[in-house]
Amino acid sequence: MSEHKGEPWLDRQLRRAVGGDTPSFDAESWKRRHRDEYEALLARAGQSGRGRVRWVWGRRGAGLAVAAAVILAVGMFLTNEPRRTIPPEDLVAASPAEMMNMMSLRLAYEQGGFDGLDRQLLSTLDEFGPRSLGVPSWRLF
Amino acid sequence: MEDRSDNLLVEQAIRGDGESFTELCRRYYGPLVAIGHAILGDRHLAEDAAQEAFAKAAAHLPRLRRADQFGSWVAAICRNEARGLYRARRRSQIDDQRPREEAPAGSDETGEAVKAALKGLPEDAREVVFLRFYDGLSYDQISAVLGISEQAINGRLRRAKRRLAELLRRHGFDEVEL
Repeated sequence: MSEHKGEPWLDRQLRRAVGGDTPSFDAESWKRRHRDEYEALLARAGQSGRGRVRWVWGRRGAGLAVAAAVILAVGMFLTNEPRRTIPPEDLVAASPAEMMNMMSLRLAYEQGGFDGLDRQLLSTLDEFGPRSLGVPSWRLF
Repeated sequence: MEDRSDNLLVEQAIRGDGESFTELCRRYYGPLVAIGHAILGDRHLAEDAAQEAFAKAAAHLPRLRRADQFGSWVAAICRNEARGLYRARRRSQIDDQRPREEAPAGSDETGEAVKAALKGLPEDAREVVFLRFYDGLSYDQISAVLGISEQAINGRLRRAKRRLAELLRRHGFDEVEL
């Protein structure tokens, strides 16, 4: 009766076909044969910490830590930056009315596009009809 | 020495500790010879490829970015060395001049058929079979060398065995069933 040729059989055959005696590394022979490379490796013992810095820099953890520190620093810079003030000569609107008008127009555009802008223009014109007595007309326009 | 982890040995080798590097070579020599053998089909050339890989690793060790990837890094170097040797051998037709590797004791028709079937496997499948059966490496050890999960190794090995069974059936071993 022939043997059942299942997985254990195949494993045995593979061990026979592939397996051999365990290869052992002969360090002394390798060092003699690759003297230059081995000495280059040994020479790094006397080098400065530059290699170590490069090694630390190359590690993923170190990279992430540096990236986190940069993001934190940029965040702190942005939150602590004093608010920019526009010098008077740089004002884009010449009067409060114009300024209010520009702000509301911009908001209207952001919220409703050109339709919103149109509605806001009509509303502004309606609102500006009666003006405060304390505000001279030249301040408005 | 055996207690030192690969990571520690790599870090010490990068700092120029020759003994740590040779210890790493001892640990990875078997797997590298298995990889070389899977590509070259020749034990002696496979040992040459493994030793050349260690020489290149010694020269370029500071380029290794992660100590825990030493195994897969040096295995990739060995794979390249073995492919280079394979191409050189094909070019110079040494294959015909070099005495064929002796078949292991007890080799028979089945053994020859299994060897022929192994040659029909894709390289990555043949590699995992050699790593598993050459030196009886555990999945964990194979994982360190191939840089893939144990689950992936299991899947690759199962596919390789199914393919081998199929190839053996074609060679007349009708009763091989997996």
